[in-house]
Amino acid sequence: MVAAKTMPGPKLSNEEILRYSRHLIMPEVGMDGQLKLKQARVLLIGAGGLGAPLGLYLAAAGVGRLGLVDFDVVDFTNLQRQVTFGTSDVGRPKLAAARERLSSLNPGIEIVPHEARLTSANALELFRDYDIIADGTDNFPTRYLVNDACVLLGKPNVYGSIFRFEGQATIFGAPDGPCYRCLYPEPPPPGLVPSCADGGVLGVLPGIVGSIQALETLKLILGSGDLLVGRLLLFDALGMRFRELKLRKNPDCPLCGEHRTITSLIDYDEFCGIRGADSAVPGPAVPEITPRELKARLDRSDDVFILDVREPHEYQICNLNGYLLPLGDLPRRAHELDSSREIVAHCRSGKRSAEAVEFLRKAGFRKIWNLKGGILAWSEEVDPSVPKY
Amino acid sequence: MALKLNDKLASGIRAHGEAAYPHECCGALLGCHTGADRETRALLPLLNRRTDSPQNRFSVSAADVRAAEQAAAAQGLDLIGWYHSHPDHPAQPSDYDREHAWPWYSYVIVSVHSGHGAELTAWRLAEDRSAFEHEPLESAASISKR
Amino acid sequence: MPVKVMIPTPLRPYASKQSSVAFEARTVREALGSLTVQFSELRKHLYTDEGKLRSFVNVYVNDDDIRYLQHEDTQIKDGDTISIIPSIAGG
Repeated sequence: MVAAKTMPGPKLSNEEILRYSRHLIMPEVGMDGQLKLKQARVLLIGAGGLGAPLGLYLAAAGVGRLGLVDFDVVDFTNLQRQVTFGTSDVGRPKLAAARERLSSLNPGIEIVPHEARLTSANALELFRDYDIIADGTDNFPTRYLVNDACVLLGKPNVYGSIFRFEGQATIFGAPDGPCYRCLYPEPPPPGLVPSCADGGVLGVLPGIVGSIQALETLKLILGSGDLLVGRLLLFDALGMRFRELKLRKNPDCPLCGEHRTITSLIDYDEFCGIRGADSAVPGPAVPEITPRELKARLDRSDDVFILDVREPHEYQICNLNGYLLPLGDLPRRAHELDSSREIVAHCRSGKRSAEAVEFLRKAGFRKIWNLKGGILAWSEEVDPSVPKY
Repeated sequence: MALKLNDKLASGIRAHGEAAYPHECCGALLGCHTGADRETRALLPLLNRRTDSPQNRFSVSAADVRAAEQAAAAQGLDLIGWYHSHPDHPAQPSDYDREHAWPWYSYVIVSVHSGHGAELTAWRLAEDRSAFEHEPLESAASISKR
Repeated sequence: MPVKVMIPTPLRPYASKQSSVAFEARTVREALGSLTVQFSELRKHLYTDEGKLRSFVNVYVNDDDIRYLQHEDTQIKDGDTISIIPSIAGG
């Protein structure tokens, strides 16, 4: 395990001794432990939901060098869970805002911003200067990239992930432990696993999982306690239960197994089946109508039937007085619709309704269009009083 | 007995078959089962460990099976079966498939013609191992619920 | 204390739906022998007609594949876990 080596030289100032007194009075940490923390170099991939508690608690604990990797800008919808940021940070680069917050918490540590997209071209170079990598990212290509780089460099990868009401945490890449590919040799075909934006997440959940990641990172540095190596910690937030899965190193793993075939980083977007353009609606394009065009038709009192394929709780947030028929119920309830009428289907952003239109066209509906951009675009282009969400 | 496999997952299997073409692809079906019926909830694409004859043979190592069991458990699912592709060959199980099959599991086969995923079928090994029985696929025009 | 034999999901219907069974045995051969005596339907799924372990039936003693030990002659001791892990093959 890569615990920080205690080198001669660095000492704690009186100010540091006072700041970290609650660590120092515990024999499990003590001066030795605090010095290990001071000499440790940890790289946080992602300054979002998981990165927030990771950054805050590692800074508070006195980790000497904290690298942060993120190229994104603070979005209003981030504030529901990314607690390093304030409302006034919306629109600012995440790294600038995070650096300010963490420096204010602990000016004595070094915070190194790496405002870049992590790629195969820069990952190995970037990771080389750090002892431990904490993965707080939210997409498969980056997860595989971080995993592979860590195994190739022999650095532990403190991993955490969240989805709706469930969280996972473990340490990949330890010398005798499994890596991410031992569990998932190949990524799922694109589009099968929704991201937070699609699936939603309870804001406090990344707070819990990220704190667990911070805890494991500190234990790695201090060299104490039982680590989550070979153990996948599963947290069920609703049931309020922790359980564990034993993770075994896969002897056939192409990256860390006995017959390694992966010896350098690859093109992860290609590996995960994501090429070029965003993962918009797959398949042939469906007939569309823009919000302005729809408004024009409604103003002319055209007989247009508005079909809303969102979920009931979304209808409560805002609606266009459409007929609510959630997408998942469409096969069973399509008979409620009159195919002789002109129908415009909408959802939040236009993706689900595109699927609905495709389905209904296959079922014989000829006069049906997808509202391009959904109710978000309606709010943007026609009626700003309609809330965006 | 029936296997539920929605359009999205079926597309995923075809996509994997197309990506691996002209070799056979293979992967695990994760989901849940009640009585004789099963529902596929997720796919776990795997590596074809037969590197000597991958155009007409596939194998999933015991270690990968263990990993698939772990991955299923991590998602609160069960390992209910396997899928693989037949490049330029019908989606019918071969004698080789039958000799190496396990009871209970659902076996999905997808035919990949000239690089394009085509018909997709499901099978279960008969009690006496003499043949594969066709397992009805319920895909209907189901749309994934978000 | 006997050894525990873990039954993989596809074989549980032939083992009275149990996920594990315990036996007194000194070698893997004895343990699997007891297993197929108690659940005779398992035999055809584990062994060929010639009585050899099928190639896609992998047997582990704790975390070790018996292929890297002494195969079915591998000695086992009280408290060991024998796992039957399928490997999957086809064409």
